[in-house]
Amino acid sequence: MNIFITYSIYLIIGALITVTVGADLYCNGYYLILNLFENEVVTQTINKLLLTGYYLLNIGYIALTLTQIDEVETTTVALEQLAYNIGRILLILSYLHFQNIALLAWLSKRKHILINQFN
Amino acid sequence: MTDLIVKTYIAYLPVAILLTFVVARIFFKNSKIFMLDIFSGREEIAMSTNKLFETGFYLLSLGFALFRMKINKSNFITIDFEMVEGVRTRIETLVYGKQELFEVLSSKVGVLAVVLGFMVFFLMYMLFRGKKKSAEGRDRKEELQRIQEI
Repeated sequence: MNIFITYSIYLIIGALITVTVGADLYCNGYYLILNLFENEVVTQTINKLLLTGYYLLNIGYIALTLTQIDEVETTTVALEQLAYNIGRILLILSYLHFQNIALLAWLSKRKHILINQFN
Repeated sequence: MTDLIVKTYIAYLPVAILLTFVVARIFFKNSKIFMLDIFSGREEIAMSTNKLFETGFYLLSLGFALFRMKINKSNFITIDFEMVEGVRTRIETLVYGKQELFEVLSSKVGVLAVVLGFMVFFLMYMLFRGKKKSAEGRDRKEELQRIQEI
């Protein structure tokens, strides 16, 4: 398979994953952060900053690992390389995602302790 | 021979994606009620947490399915030695027929299904644990209120 076709498939799928997952996290993470700060302006700001950071991190990683796809003479190897690279992106994203949820849960637990201490 | 390997991949991808989607749909449709219980009836945060976990589940299982898609071809290579023009040469041939296709496909789908099953049981354990924890927290709050009233 042509290397340019492989590259463009990789970039398109990577961008699609980034945008869909980012939109999902942006919409649903709002209530978790709102629960933490209880202030809508602060929540919107932090949510937007997180989204920007996420886009930068993910698109940067996709662009960095683009050159790891090589030797695409046959369709078999091209498919294998594509699946391996996209699978790795998904696994890293899921790790970051669960880490983020765990961090939010941890912080919300601290918040309750703080409120109990100060009241 | 390599044509059949591509056919294996083309058969594996829809099966893996479909399996993931079906499992996620069933699990996260039924986990909503647990989430509502865990967050003591606050609907917005319960639904968004449910959705976040669903996204994470998709990412994890699809990532695993794609990451493990590659077939290890060295299992299907047979090595022969032949005399070519008086020199002993090593000839490698890839034996990959329809039987190998079905065997590889079933082993790949089987591993994915077992991993998905473990993930579902782990998530169920987490849901039950969260439910217990939130019930304990609610009890403690009620007790504090009662003490304050006295």
